[in-house]
Amino acid sequence: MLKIEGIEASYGPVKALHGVTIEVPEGSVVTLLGPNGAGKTTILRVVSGLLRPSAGRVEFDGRRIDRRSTEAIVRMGISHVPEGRQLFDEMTVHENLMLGAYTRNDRDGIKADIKRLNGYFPILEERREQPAGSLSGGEQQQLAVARGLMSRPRLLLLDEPSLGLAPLVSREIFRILRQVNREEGITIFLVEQDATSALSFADYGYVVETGRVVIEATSDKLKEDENVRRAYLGY
Amino acid sequence: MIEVFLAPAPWNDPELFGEQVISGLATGSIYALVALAIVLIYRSTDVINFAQGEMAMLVTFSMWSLLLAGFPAWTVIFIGIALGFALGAFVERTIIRPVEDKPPLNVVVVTLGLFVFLNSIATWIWAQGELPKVFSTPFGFTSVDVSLARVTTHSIGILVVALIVMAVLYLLFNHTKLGLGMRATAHNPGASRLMGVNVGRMLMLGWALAGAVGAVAGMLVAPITFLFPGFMLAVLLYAFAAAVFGGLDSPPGAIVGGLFVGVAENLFGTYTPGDIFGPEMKLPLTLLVLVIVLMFRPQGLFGRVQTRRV
Repeated sequence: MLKIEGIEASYGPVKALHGVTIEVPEGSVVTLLGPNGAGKTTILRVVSGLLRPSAGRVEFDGRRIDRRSTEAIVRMGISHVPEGRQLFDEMTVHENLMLGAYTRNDRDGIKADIKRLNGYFPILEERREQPAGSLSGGEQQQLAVARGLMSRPRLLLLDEPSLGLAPLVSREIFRILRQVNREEGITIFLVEQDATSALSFADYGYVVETGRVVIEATSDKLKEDENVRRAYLGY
Repeated sequence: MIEVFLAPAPWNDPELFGEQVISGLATGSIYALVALAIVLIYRSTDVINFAQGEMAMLVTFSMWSLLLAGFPAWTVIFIGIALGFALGAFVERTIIRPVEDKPPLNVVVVTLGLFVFLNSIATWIWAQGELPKVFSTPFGFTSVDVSLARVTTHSIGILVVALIVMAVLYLLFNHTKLGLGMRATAHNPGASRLMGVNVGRMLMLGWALAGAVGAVAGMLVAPITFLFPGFMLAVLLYAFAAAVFGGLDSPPGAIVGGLFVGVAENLFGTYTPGDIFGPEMKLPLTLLVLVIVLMFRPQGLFGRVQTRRV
């Protein structure tokens, strides 16, 4: 579904990606592991059109997207839940969800989707008219995911959904994400620091270091890998 | 003590007091409109548009020419608003966008440059004949009794028009999808982009709306001050004070600030103790009040405290 081929990207004079190739098959969960500053977030930013790659190509459903605007990419069915959640803090929970549906014009469908998402995230219904900034960390992450789903994506990009959350809260987020993946058939491309959670959730994983893919394998194989275990799983 | 007042004390002449308050509200709502325009732009692009008044001035002069050419008043009013809108959009696209991601001082220099440029253009085109030029109002200047006070129809017209503009903006921002996108862009352009909002278009629209609102203010002021290239200067100064007072990122703050400045200016002008300082001191006195308030609330009455997350 998503094909990233040999992309290179820079922030000003600093090169962040040196030819990265990744494939995310339809219906799967693929995770990116790696230390801070390895370029994981940069890869997501290239996919969602926030950053232009200087070389290589990105394909979604066989169509090239690396020259398209973020707006067009969202419309094609890719939704990016960014690092640090990036909610509209002063706007209400409901307004945040409506912004998630900004590219859509089907009022009834949007209403139905909000109702459906309230099934996954009951707390959002309770907090509907509260400013997003007043929610707890876990609630904010739930809102960020829900907002990301409001555009009815077929591919969900998730950047560190467990960052700053208590283990119990982060487990709950992953439980919901697994449900979203299985029940809605939404493909998930995940960047995650917590390698244990990520590998138990994902089917396939890539380890990125200094802008390059150094290992790729199924999650089960990565869990066994000596280097991955020492560097990311801590045993 | 009462003898030193230039005017009878409010309790001795409530009618005068009422008149001063109402006409203060009328001029105040003009400041409020210009302050709103400034806030609209500041919220969405973090730019202080020093040329806001001159953009309105150019539009008002163009309207004067159209009226002179014989176009009917309401057509000219409509064209004026459209012209303000188009000018705002044009300015954002052509000269603001290239400096948007540059250091903030660059934008300041650009809007100051625009100020001088528009002012010179107006002088060049319209200053040949006699200045100031008379600019008529569709509301007229008839005096009417409003309960206690006598006010002009133009003052009432200003209040009504300002209320309509504010109501339209309120509905736009709070009850339409476009408004939702514009507010989101003002809060967090990066995240808005991820929602599929066309951020560039929202920024341009913010400038366009500000241009239109400014144009409305211009055509409301001109009948009072008459028309000359610098006629929006004082208004702009008051509007800046009002915007900062209300909180530079708060539209309700701009309105409250504008009305406050208008009324305070009128009351200080009327009730200054004449043997200490005359009515000329109304502007400094008004600004003094603002400075004192800002000492205690640096973010303005309704502004939010800037917090940066680390």
